[in-house]
Amino acid sequence: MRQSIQGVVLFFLNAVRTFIKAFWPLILVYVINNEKLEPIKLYVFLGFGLIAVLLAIHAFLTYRNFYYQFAENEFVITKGYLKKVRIAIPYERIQSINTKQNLIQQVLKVQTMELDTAGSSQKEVQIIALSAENASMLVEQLNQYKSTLNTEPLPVDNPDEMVQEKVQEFEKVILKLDVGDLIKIGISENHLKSAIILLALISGFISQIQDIFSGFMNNYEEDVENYMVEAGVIMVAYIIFFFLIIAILYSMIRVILMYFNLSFSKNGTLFRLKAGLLNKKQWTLPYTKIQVFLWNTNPVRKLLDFVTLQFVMAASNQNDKKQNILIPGVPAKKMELVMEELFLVTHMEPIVTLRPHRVYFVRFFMILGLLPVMIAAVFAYSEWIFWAIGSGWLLLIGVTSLLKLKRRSIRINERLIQSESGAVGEEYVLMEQYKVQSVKFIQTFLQRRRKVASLVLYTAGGFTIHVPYVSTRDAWDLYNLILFQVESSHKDWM
Amino acid sequence: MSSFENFPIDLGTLPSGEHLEFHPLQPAYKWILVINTLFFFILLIGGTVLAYVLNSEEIPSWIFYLTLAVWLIALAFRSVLMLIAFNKRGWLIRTHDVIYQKGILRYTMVTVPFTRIQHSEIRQSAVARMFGLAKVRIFTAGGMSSDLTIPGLSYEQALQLKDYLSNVIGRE
Repeated sequence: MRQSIQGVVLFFLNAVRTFIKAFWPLILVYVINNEKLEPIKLYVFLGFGLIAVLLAIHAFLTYRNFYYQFAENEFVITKGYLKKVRIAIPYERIQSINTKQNLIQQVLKVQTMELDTAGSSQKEVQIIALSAENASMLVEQLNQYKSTLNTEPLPVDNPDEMVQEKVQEFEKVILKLDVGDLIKIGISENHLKSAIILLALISGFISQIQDIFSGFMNNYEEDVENYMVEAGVIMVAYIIFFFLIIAILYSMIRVILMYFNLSFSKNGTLFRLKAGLLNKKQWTLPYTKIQVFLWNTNPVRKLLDFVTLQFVMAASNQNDKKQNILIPGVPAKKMELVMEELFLVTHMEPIVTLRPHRVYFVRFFMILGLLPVMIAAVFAYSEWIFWAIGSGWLLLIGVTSLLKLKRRSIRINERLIQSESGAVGEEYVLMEQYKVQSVKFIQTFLQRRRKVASLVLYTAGGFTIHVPYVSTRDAWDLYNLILFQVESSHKDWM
Repeated sequence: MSSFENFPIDLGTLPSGEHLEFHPLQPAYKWILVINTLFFFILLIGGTVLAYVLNSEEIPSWIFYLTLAVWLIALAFRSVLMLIAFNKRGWLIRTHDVIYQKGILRYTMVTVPFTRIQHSEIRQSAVARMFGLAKVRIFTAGGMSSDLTIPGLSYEQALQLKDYLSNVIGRE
């Protein structure tokens, strides 16, 4: 099958963009030296025209030679007219199927479909011009092929799971966010991050302005200086205020553009997330591919009753953060519903709760608090300001370490494991025990003296769960339990 | 006292990771560790000497000798510790997983279930080849930090281990 004919336009625009990227200095030279090149203007235009025609032909040939098809065990793409390329992806390798639509594609009424194939070095596959019907047909078809692979009856722990799978043949919307929600989410974003980006942009701009005005300033130096000192204080206040407003606006616009009309839905064991205004995106993720589920809040977000959700997907590359799928805000009261759709329970019911030994606090306090202060003391013990800052620092680290210790816990039942952490904000991580990839048992000689040990649980997707400073007995029990769960499970984990 | 006493799965009946008998590494692997450590410290000491010779007027000689002494003490400490800890290194194949342990100051034991192994490969550095040794690297989907490397195997052992793992992965 070929893509929609509108693809020619997209291929053409892509080619133009690559061309401009490669040759922009030349184009710039032409624009600047416009007058000098006047005599050969005709040739220049002819040249550009020729290039345009060549690019158009390239776009057309690229389009003509791009095919996709469903083979027996794999999805096959053939492309290229000079160098023929054939990419075959076995259905079981497909991680998730995502669609995207940028502004141009919205005008042309086509979509991009992406296949994520984790666990292999193969580049992800893109089909950039599919009509909406074809895209959704393709997604359905790929999902169907995938599911026929798994027709052998899987041992299901929870009989409800089976029933639910059969009943839910329709799309069930779990969550929708309207503009009001998005504005609240925007307000509670991390403004420090936005402010730093903005500051970097503006400081570059200001230094340019200073260069321009420096000559002018010299003439009135004294007046200006006096004025500046007076105005300085007011200026600083204004600038801070201004930045805050801009940063909030920036976050808000960013959140609305990215997550406009967000809807999160479920169809059988498939989850679907759609969002975006200028760039519309859709992710389709089967439950088996979700490795870790995590949610967190900060104080502002908590006040507004929102949490941030994140799905960690299996990734071939640990640094590949884009595999993670984010829902920026979920009303706290909706969390039970989301949890139920994902894990079939409204909340994690722990049978065992493990908490770190108080030595965990001592370690934090020593490394982050005492050690730097002692090093600084060697150089600055005679300054009174050192004692002021030093004791303030110790107090700050002491309090945060204590909060961290109090919050840190690992909850376990016969199926799930949940980790809770954070000092001011809160972070929760939840996963199925059988999805763990490997387990590491750690005990330093200091830990051995206290009869404590730590565990690290590695997951596909590079996310790790740390179980710090629990009693040696508990560490071994958890180690044995997790490995038993992994090794006795026959469920799909990827 | 375990926190898991009333857990619905009886953990007492599960295979335990405690008190396992590990296969030791080939004694020759000690020499590779020594060579690697020496190489590192030769670079370090060489760099220090070079820095001193080039800036001998600015750097007081006592700082130079102190730094040198620190490196040498560190080298001695590291070597002694390494040789003592060598007996702690070991690997093991259980019914459903493969384990590697090491370390005295910081003991670690990494376990990878067979069902989670993506693939495995044999690696042999130039130095290792001189001693007839090799290592087996086991890849999981958990990324670099969860991969498992078993060093200090004779080449035959490495081949056997890799063959065994490939067989088991296909079966599970």
